[in-house]
Amino acid sequence: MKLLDAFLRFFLQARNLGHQAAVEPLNRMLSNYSSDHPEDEMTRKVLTLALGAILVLAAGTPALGQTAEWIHIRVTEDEGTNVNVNLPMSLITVAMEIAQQHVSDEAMDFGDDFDGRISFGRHHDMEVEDLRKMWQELRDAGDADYVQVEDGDETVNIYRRGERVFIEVDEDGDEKVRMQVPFSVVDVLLDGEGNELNLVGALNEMAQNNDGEVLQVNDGDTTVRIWIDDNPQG
Amino acid sequence: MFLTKVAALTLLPVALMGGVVANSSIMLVEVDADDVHIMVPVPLSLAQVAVAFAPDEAKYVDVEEAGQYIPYLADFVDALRDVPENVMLVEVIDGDDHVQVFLEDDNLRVSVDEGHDRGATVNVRVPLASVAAMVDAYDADTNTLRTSRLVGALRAAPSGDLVHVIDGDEEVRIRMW
Repeated sequence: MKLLDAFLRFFLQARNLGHQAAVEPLNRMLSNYSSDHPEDEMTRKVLTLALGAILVLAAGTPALGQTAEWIHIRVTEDEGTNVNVNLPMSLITVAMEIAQQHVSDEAMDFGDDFDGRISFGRHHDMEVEDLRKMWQELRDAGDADYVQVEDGDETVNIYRRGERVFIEVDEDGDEKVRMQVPFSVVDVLLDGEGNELNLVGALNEMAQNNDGEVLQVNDGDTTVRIWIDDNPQG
Repeated sequence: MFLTKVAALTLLPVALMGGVVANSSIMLVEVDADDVHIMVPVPLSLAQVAVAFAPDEAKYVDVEEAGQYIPYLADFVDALRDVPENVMLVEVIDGDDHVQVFLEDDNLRVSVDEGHDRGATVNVRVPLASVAAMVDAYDADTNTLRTSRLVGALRAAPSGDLVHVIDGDEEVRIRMW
């Protein structure tokens, strides 16, 4: 949840800056949710989760015609816990299809005819259409520093270089979050209509056209690394 | 002469049954706990025949909500079969505890070892051939699994341990023989 909280903080801070046309649609979305109202907390979490999921699922770096077939997760804690996960992307795709059968939460309505696209439930104001507009704004903006926030020991930087968006969060010197979001994956993710998200398509895009670092989190005693490549053992 | 014929007629079915059992996969269930030792051999060929004579309600197993996931198992098996041998899919080391999930000889293996003295160890082997056969046992129209085909899925399992749990003085073992 720390990561998701970081995302939420970032987006709230980005909203407060109010000078980026790229974040204007998000600005409108988040303006409905105030941390002063507990009843908005659930919606805020759902919103944060959805944004986090989009970014995590979309992450990766472009490769030149190489098929990245494996996703790897490493979690290391100073106390001695190590988690290593190496899964073929094909298995992730199957898992996504199974998840469609399992998830019935109102926050996400996968619909009866699931084809990898997800519609958000009508009870939440999270509009994928807004994300789509925001993403288009980002696309058109070209290379730029989208967001720079310095708040005491905490800094947030979001910038675009080439076909990737980089997200960097530093807090208290020993907590770091590094993410890379490739445009092609998000393009596929948002290529539906209305409130649809093409998750399976995004996964396939990630597998076929992306490899490299997805996410690195250093949180004091814990490090998390997610990356994809064509090596089964990572 | 008469006694010889009677003996031959009596022994023939026994010999035939023995032959069937000898050529059949046998699932051996063993439980050791304190003073209790239970060993149940289950000849799967005979079990499959027995199912044919069972009442209808025993021939089908209603899988209820789980049925919706069964067709995906085929894709799951296909994806796993593309995985190279002995690739560690999941490994968790937490102090003395060690959990491993990997593929070995067309089997999905799960190993849990608590490490410390008298800690539990769990070894589970899931033959992918059996999982694939189980998918074939599913009837989507009735949302049931056909018991005879389920037994057939077990017969598809190669010999060796399927489940082996040791926890202190207690031991449970299910193996194909």
